Amino acid sequence: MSESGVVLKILSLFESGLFIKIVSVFITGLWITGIILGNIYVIILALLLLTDLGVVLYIHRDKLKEIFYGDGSVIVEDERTQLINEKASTMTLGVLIAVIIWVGIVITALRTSYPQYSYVGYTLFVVAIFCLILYISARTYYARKF
Amino acid sequence: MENYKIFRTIIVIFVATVVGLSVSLGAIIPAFLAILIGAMLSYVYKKNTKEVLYDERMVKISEKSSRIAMILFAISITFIGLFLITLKDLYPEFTQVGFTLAFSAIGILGLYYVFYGYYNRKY
Repeated sequence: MSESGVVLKILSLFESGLFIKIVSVFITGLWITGIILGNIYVIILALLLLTDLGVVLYIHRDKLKEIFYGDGSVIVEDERTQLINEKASTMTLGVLIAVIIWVGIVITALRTSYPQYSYVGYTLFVVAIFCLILYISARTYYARKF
Repeated sequence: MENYKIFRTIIVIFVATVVGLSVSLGAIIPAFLAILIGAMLSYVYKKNTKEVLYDERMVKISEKSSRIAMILFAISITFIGLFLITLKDLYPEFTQVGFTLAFSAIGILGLYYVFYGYYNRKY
């Protein structure tokens, strides 16, 4: 095997499914370590690695099936699972927003009795607004697309 | 469909006003009643109207946008929650916010798997 062939072989290892899975596990370990130690640098490192991984996956987005399954004929998502995913997401989002707003209202209304939870109430309101903004943006995008 | 939009807007304004006022006054009962009345009125209107409220295109758009919004939302609050929990020594006042976000992310996953299981059996 020529020298360039060996180099290409080594480089291809970094794009293999096993390597990507190992990196994912390593990044998860970094997240957990960062939280336990309360160290922001470990979290930043994990975020950087995640960004790199995202770039690699984006570059090879058309070959993800081959990378992870080794066989391009494997069906990852058929129409049925897509339908189930979409229906489950719709229900999840609806119930989640309703519950978040409900809990937010209850906690905020009871702030005189339980002032220590005021932050939680306000956070839930902000989270609900953020979720609605995301949904409206996505809806506008798909309404234009279809 | 136009009448339903107007009706829905009126209900939203009514519920938002009452809820906003009751939250600022610290009273929970009016907020609870306003949401209940709003939901009931909306349900009764939907049951009795002969208008076409949803078409297939709208349902498809709604489902697709829900999926992408849920994914982006879950990822965002997980990361923000993680950061806030990690910075508990520097900003201890935001640790509670971080935990709220982290629990919300767990809630999303839990709800999603429940509904996934339900629809998986249904279809």
